[in-house]
Amino acid sequence: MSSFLAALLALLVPILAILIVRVRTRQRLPFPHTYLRSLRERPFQEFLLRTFQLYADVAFDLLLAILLALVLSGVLDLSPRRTAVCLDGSWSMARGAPDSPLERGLAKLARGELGAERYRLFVLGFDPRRGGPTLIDMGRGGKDDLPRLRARVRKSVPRFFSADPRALGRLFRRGYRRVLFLTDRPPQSAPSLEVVDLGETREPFFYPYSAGFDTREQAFRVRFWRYRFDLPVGIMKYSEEEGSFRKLSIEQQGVPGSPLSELLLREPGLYRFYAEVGPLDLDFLIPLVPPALEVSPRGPYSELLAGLLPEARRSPRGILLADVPWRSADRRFPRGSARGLHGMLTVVPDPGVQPALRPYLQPLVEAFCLPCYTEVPAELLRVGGPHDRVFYFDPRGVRDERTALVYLSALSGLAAGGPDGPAGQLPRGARYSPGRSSSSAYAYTTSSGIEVLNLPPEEFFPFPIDEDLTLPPPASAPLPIALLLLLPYALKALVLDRLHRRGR
Amino acid sequence: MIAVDRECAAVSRLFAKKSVRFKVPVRLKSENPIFRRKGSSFNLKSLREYQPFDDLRKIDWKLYGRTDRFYIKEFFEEENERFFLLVDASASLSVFDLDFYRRFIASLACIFLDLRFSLDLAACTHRLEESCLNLRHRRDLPRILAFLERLPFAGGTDLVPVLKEVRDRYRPTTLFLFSDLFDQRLELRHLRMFRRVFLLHFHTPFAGLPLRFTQVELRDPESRRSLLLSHNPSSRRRILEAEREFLARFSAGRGGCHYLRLERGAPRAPSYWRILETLYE
Repeated sequence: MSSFLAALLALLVPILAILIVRVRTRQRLPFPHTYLRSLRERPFQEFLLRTFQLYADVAFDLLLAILLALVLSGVLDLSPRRTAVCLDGSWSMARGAPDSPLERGLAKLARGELGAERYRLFVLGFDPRRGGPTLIDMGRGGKDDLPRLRARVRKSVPRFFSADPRALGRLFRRGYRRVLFLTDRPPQSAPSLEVVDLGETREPFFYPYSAGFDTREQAFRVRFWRYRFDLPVGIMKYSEEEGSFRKLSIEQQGVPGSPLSELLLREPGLYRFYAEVGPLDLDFLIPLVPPALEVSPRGPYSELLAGLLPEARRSPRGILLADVPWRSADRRFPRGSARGLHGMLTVVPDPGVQPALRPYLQPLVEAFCLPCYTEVPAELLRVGGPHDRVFYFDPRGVRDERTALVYLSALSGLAAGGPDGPAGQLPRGARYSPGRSSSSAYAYTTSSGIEVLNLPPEEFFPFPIDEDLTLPPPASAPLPIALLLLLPYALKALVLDRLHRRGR
Repeated sequence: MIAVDRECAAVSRLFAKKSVRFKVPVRLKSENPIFRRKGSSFNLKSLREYQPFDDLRKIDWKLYGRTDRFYIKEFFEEENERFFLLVDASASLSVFDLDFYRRFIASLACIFLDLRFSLDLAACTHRLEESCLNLRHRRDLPRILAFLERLPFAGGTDLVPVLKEVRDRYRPTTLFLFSDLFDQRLELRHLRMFRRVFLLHFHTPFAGLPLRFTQVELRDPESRRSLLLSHNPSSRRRILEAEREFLARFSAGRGGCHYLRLERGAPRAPSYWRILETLYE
């Protein structure tokens, strides 16, 4: 109440000033009253009209000031008390079916254990076109049973690599007063949110982190990301003569400082990586082929970089180079400085780079960086064309892992008929399942064979879990306030219009 | 310092040329036969025998031929028509442009003198205040200017008793009334006591007032009363209606009453010309 009075007093100051000026100032003119007697004869009407004219504006302004004070002080809360439930749509939520965190969250929703009867369901995911997090509206919730809810979520939600909970602030800006966030990685402190911890998956897990040809070692280097998986990864190679996979025994080495293991494979071919022990249904197929057919540029900048890779031949179906729309938060990113090249970036795979250009081009698995805009090295001037500057990845500028996420998302989007396509189109031995299942093969098919889709080592955005997630306060919905303020203004305009019309 | 419009000389010269074919309004100088003086008109005053002090050129030689005696014919004196200029000098005239007002009266008087009309000039408020009579020549113009300069423009307006007094005291046949007509009692019937009246209305339109505020206090310069108006379209409409009714009271003059409205800043020379043309109709 005190805040209301304070706001009202503050708003009354200019209104009173206007009133004083209007009452105290009058124009004095000499003019005979010979034919003004008729006005003298109706002093009461004149008084009423004059009083109304004097105080009408002030009355309207006073009404508006009271409304504004009510809204500003929060006494009059016009925002709808809506509830939003948001599911974390990252890969980790779907890991470990049938007891994945996603399944647990859906079950809670179906049973109504969240204390919200009517709510709107969102999924926090990743938009590959914008290169940032997005909120997918799943419609009204609270009326579906578990199978129907599961079907809705699985049908509508694309595969995400990560989720940034800071995007939940958009829900508050839309007018939601209560936001429930269902996740397997709850932020340490999020006072604005109601976080429901679904718990991490308990299933051991591994998946290929990178697979590429190392020109120095003249061998394929395959890395695996491990989660609670301490056993060696089983390796099988497809034999054309036998028509089946043959088990291999190759030494696996751990990468210091990371949950990665690495192995080197000298021979190309179709390899199968699986869990040797346990009930895990993990089975990855990776075709390891020399990097001759890996470059197929899409877009002007990829065309430019494709020229830098002389040993790479163009493949009609390859998608290793592609321009991806990119909106950088870094103001140093020079948008529009080179015609046709702005807002684009390209991730260059490791095996296809000449040794001389290697210092200037960042490999895919390490390219979690911003594209840097610097002077062109002498080696690149030849392909620069009319531009004296080009974009390329500076290894010293590693700071943003979303670069690879964008690229991989684009690849998955381009791979129509890939992992979600009909199984009959897959060649023999190619096994895959959607990423949300526990058995994930990150490969998809093209006419030339199976392409590997490498995942980033972590699903995380730069947002650290232990950061205090402070979201903007719930905003009042602007439309009801605008309508409320519009009403007195419309009334005032109507009265003035009628006065003017009578005066004509 | 009041000045006469520069166009006055041209107007009077051109009008004198233009109007030679019209009949100049003349009259005997005195209507009372006792005070009629001899002059050069065609009205015979007397016939008497020649005296030694008489001019030989005035001897009627035809009578000498018939009677063989010298006789002298004497005629009455004639003059152009005498106009009476009644100038409203009330306080309400201060609303109008006083320089315009004085200049117009002085210029018109100058034109009349150039055209050899005789003038009587009087100022009035609610009574006859001051007069300046027997103006016959251009050399009388400084008297007119001094008279107009002395006008105080104070007091109220009551033209009805003033017109009666003018009629009774001066008996003018043609009256020029210079006024803003802010008089509650004056009506057209009060002007019928004169054979010919030129009603020169110096009007300040209400729409021309520079109204800027919501509240306007109109102060009557004569009664010194104030009227508080709210400047809105409704009150403005009512005032303009009242003003139209007020103007319609005088503009409908017929017969010998000629109405001419003048507003601040309007060109004066066309008004002079129009008055002269009306005068010679």
